[in-house]
Amino acid sequence: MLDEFRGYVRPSGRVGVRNHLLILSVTGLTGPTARRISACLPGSVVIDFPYDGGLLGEDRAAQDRALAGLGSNPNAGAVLLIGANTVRVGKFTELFSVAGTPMTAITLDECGHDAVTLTERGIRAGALLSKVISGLRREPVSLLNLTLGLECGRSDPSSGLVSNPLLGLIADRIVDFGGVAMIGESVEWMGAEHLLAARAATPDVAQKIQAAVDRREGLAVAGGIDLTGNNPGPSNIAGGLSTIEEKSLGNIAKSGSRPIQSVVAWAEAPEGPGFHLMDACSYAPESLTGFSGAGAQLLLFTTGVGNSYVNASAPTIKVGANPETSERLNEQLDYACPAVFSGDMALEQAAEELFVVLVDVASGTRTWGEILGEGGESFSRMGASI
Amino acid sequence: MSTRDNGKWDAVVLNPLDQVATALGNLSAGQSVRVRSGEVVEVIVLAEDIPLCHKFAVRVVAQGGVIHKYGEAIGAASIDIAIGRHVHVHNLKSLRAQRNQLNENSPS
Repeated sequence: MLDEFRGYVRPSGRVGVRNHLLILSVTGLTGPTARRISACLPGSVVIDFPYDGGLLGEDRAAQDRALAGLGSNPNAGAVLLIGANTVRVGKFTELFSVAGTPMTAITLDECGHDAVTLTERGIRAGALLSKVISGLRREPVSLLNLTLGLECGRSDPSSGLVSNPLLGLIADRIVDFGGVAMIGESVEWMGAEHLLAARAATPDVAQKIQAAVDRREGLAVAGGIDLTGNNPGPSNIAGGLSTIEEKSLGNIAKSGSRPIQSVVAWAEAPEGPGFHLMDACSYAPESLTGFSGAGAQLLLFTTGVGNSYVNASAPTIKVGANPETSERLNEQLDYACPAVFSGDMALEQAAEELFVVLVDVASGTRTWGEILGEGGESFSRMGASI
Repeated sequence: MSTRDNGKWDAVVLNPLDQVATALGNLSAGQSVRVRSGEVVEVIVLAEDIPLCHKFAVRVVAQGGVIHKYGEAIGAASIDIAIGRHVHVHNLKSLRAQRNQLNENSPS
């Protein structure tokens, strides 16, 4: 029985499924420098946070939480931290030092605000970090070390019938090992929230599920939009999904059947093992960053009609069951099971196959998204800037 | 588009409460399709083309009637819907996130 994968055990005790040199720019001012440095260090992963000055309150807290989470995600073997001033950068160096991640911080302040000097220092510092982490080796570890984020994008009814229930079986299995799994996209709990609330571990969690849905529904109404045409969006509707309720019922099939331990905010790490919900935006780039910012090392992402986007920090396994999509998107779907859709294969058998793919990817096999460089990070804004 | 033929069924009803089936292939108007619901397969004549993954009615639904899939409400019929008709955004409306309904439905 599969119960281990080969991962990078970090000084914190957490386990990475990748060994990235992460080039993390914590202010929009140093984004171009970060991208130049990354271009000179093949294989590095760059995250260029586009904001900083002017962030306020809840928004500021959420952005800093996400940056801290991305920098301490165990998929980062080392972090080259880039910022404008030593105060802001110092806040993050303290955090990452606690995790024991090899790290170098460079700032514009220390380079006389000369981006060329910053670039040169960054390339040299990043090269050294890259050398250090190239000496690290994978070792066998239990699957309980995994935190999974589960996503669906450009869904059609094959998602709700096959692909999402398939992820639900995988989520149950990881939870039963003692690992963590979560879904987000809280607008897509609407119409299915009673089913999620019935699985809440405590009455407080049930109340938070309802509150999250009420808030999203209120946002949609206040925004004056008809959800039909927005969510479900045009590609969902073309694919055959008619209403948010129908989409939600398919969406929550990803959540499996285990008790729901908590509702966390975007990019907030769940406390403790088990299944959790993330109250966050349903747009895939932001949703995936919510998961990797919350510490997920591995993502599973179903699509009905095709969706090429993946996360930069966490390998994203693309899953589909639509027969036409499965035939068309060879270099996108890491696992396709149209035979389940057509009734020629049991869902449980597909779950066995997908679990093998998951363990392989956790152990180093690259996803199509990684091979093709489709990864990005996107930050959910919670309010206006001053 | 070719008709799916695996010698079994062309569409599936997910729950006995459901008024709709999901097409497992591109199905054509006038076609007698085999619809599986649990262990039972019944034949329904389609009134219009039903693309892959789209829904059609397996029971008559009156205007205003709640439509179920997965055994759960997915919206209400905006017009009367006959058996074999395409069920989609033109005749099935969400009951959520609508300005005039949120006030009535939202928990106080």
